[in-house]
Amino acid sequence: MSEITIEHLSVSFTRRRAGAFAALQDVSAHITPQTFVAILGLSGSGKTTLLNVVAGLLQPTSGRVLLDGRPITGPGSDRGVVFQQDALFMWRSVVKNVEYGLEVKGMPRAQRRALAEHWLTVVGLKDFAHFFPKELSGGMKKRCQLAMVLANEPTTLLMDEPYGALDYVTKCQLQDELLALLHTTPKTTLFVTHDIEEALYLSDRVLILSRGRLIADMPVTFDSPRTNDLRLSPEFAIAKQRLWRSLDGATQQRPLSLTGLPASIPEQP
Amino acid sequence: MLATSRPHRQRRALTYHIASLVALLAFWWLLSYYTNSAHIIHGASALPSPLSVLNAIAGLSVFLAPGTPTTLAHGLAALWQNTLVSAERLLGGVLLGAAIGITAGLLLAWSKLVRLLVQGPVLLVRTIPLMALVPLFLAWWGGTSFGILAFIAFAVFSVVVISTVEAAGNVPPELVNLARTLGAARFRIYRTVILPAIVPAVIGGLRVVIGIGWALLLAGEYLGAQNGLGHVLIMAEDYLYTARMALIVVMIMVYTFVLDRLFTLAADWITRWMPKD
Ligand SMILES: Nc1ncnc2c1ncn2[C@@H]1O[C@H](COP(=O)(O)OP(=O)(O)OP(=O)(O)O)[C@@H](O)[C@H]1O
Ligand SMILES: [Mg+2]
Repeated sequence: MSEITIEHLSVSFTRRRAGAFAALQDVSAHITPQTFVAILGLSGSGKTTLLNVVAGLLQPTSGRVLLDGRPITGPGSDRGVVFQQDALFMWRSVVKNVEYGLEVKGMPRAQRRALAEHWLTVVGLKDFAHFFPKELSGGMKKRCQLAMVLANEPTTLLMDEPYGALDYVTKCQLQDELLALLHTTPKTTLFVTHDIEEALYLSDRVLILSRGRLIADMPVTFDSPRTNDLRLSPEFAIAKQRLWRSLDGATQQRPLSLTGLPASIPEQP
Repeated sequence: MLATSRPHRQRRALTYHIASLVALLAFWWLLSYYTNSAHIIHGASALPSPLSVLNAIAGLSVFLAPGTPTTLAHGLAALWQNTLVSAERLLGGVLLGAAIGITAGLLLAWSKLVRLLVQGPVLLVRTIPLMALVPLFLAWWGGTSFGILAFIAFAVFSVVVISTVEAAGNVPPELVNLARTLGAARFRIYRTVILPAIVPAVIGGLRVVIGIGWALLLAGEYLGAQNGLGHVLIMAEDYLYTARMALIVVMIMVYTFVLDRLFTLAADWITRWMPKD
């Protein structure tokens, strides 16, 4: 199932000098099971913070998050997280990384090896099973992280800017692979990104965060299966423009700090 | 120009290394030839020639047992015997100190309370000048071989325990979080994330410690040993046997080099998963 209910969620951090800082302020949303939700926002808008609360890695300052009606008390293997950083166990081979969650569950060696190899095949890393993470490219590392999470068969998938550092074509490939995968094994997915196109292409719904607040909630209704042609269609461009405006509006509210710069560029004589 | 292949480059580097070493040896020889004709201290050459250093091996025969005839074979046997004695103290001390240091470091890193309680005393221990402790350790163990071993172990412990605690604190939090989201509990995270993640830092600490290990060993053997390379060296000083002193120094250089190579090989294999630079 995995239905996520976010109720008046606020998270503050105490910063050494500036005192309390609100990373999330009164965010509420209801996410129905097996929906793909993109969380869009500029850098520092609180995306990772939101994801960490749902992952159970961070306690809310106020408000709460429910998973299937029960408050989240900590991390669990029902929610798989693909982290923003390349989080892999560097000292384990690729296949042993994928086996980690199964090891935790106490699955016998032969069984978990077979399962890990299955998931490596799914993400296209079968031939790299015995490589160390340092021998993988950025895109391969992301595939490995995904396999690691999928092997645990979570009902919820939390992904934090997984394809942020990849080239455009690789990014599009991985997006298609992800959609195909979720088509066969549907999961509730929260996908953090700052890429408007990525958010639109993948999701059923886009939430926009700006400076800790939820400023927009937009359904995305393109037919599935989605293909690369969609990226070039007029409807897609229109939707992209709408999201762009929302994000841009968010920046305009941001008080620009230009101290130290001249108010206007003096004309050269 | 195109870059040359790796084995080719390595072979060329080796050629240069050997060439410069040969040149250095020749320079030593020439210098000793000059100083021996000019500066003699009480009948001994101030700078013994490479040949006289080799000849000094036979002179070590007396260290086998008093009255042993002076032959090259006896000399080599004596050298080997004293090498073994010193190696046992050095490696025994390093292994014992590292084992205790890593275990203690891991226990400290486990509990915040214990860490806070012990941090002060550990920092205090770090301020003790190690060399000043030699007489104390020798007094405690009555100048036995174990006294020197214990002294080295203590020094190694004090370095390794700190590098272990520090390394455990520097494990990237996202790795711990990754394990948590995959369902791992605290002890498993300790065993499968913290422990492997600190290995490179601990190995780095050990490398430093083995480097100072020789100095600690010699200090211990000068003061309170009846055998070992340090004992042979300090006895040679009594009689101004400069060739013998140089022989021991050269032997220690050889041992240090071999030990460092072996350590590097082992460390590189253990940390083969680490991205290089
Ligand atoms: N542990 C922390 N301590 C103090 N402040 C924090 C902490 N974590 C996040 N913040 C602050 O909270 C705000 C939101 O951070 P968050 O990581 O959620 O942003 P983000 O939207 O994920 O940004 P990015 O796209 O750059 O990853 C930022 O201003 C950040 O400085
Ligand atoms: Mg982030």
